Amino acid sequence: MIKALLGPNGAGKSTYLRRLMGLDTGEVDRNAAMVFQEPLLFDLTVKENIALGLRFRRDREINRKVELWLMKMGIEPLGSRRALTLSGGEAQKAALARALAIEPKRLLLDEPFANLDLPSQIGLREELKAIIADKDIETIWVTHNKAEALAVADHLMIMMDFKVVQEGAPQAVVSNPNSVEVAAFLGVDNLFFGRVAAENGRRLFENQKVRFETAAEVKDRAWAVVHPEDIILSPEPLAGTSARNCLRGKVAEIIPLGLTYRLRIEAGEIFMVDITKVSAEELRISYGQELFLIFKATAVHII
Amino acid sequence: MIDLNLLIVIRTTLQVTGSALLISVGLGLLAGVYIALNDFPGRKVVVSIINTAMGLPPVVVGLLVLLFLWRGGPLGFLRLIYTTQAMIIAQVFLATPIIAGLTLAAIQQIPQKMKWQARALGARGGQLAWLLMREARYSLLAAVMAGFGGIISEVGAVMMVGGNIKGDTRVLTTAIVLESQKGNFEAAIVLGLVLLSLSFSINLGLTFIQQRKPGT
Repeated sequence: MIKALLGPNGAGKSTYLRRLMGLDTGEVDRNAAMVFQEPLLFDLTVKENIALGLRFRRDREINRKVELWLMKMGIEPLGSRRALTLSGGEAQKAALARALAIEPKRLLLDEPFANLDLPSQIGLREELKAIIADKDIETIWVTHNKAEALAVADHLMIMMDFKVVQEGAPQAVVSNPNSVEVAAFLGVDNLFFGRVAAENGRRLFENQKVRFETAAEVKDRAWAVVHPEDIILSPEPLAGTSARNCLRGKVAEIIPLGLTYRLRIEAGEIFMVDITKVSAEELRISYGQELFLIFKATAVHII
Repeated sequence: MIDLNLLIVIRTTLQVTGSALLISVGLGLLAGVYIALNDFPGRKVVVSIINTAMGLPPVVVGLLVLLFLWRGGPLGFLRLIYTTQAMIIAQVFLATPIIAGLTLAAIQQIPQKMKWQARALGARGGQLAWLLMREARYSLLAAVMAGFGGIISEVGAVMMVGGNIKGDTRVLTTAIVLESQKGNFEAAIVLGLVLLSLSFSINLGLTFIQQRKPGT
């Protein structure tokens, strides 16, 4: 089970983790292990470093476990090296081996891969995920990187101003941020400010630039989120479909993103919409082209 | 010039400074590490006292020890005045603050994150002290060398409390003073060279220990 603790820099994530570990209070949780952003290896050999936690617990099988974890992290040839001579990636592997060697029930990770280059980050992340799943370690993984959080998390916690402001299943949190701050931090597209008003038994989100239907309750000051993946583009207005919004817009920018394009469409407000290259060719997308944005009322999330 | 008297002086020097250094290393490391890792009321005052004591003038220490050990003094009944034990006591007062102060600085210099990591690994009490002392071992050996340098070359205190008694409390530094005063400069220079080589060989040994690197 991996809980990712995601938040901007300075949100108090590291402090929170230190408290959990008992580093601020004086009584350290001996069933837990912690890995920091820096490897923090002591000026000993790699093996001696990995053995530290076991020595402090008077373990009887120190040598066997040290060898085992050197092997599991793929750093056997480095065992007798002076720890301070390792490269960044090797050192972080040694730090992980040192933490895992004590067979912790809980693992606290404070931005463990933030100092590594992207390929090593991804490789090491997958290795670590597998070990955590295999040993069934309750893990809290602190990161300020949304992609990393989503890649590892079974449960996502968002921290801001020293408080956990939202938590839940990762996809649920991302698609339903409960505050503008969370939405802005998660980089949510199509976030608009206005109000929700009732009209002829329907509810409309509106501001001076845009109006569309929502399933949410009436609210005076409201933020609306429409995720790009919930918007369909059509050359024609779609008539007669109930509870669907159909906004007329103009293509303002086409941003290529590999297999997809991201379009900036002016429809009162600016909407970001993702579209595959195939659909873009079918629609013959071009600058200034008129298109209709279609999305369900239930796809409008009101914060 | 290498005669029995010189050998006795060298032996007394090594005996006095060696014993004083052993005691000072024990006390200084213990005090330095304890103060570095613990918070207690009056800590800042204690640290200031240690820092001041690092630069104590040997003659002042000599005077204080003399006053206490003097026949009529509070500890006069111990009959330690003009013995090598009195010299060791004076040198312990000189070397301990140096070693404690430099130990304190060395342990404090270890980054906070390393200390967190040490505790996160489960180190507590003596284990924590052991790990951090290993981490700071180069600085700690430098502290020992500074303490050693401070007492092997010292003359004021050992002269006052030892009395420079031939064959008993005479050490290299006091012998140099005596020979110079008598105008035997040749003898004084030889004694000076002996003192220097002694100091050099001991520091060389400590440096070899210090510069060992772990692993390959």
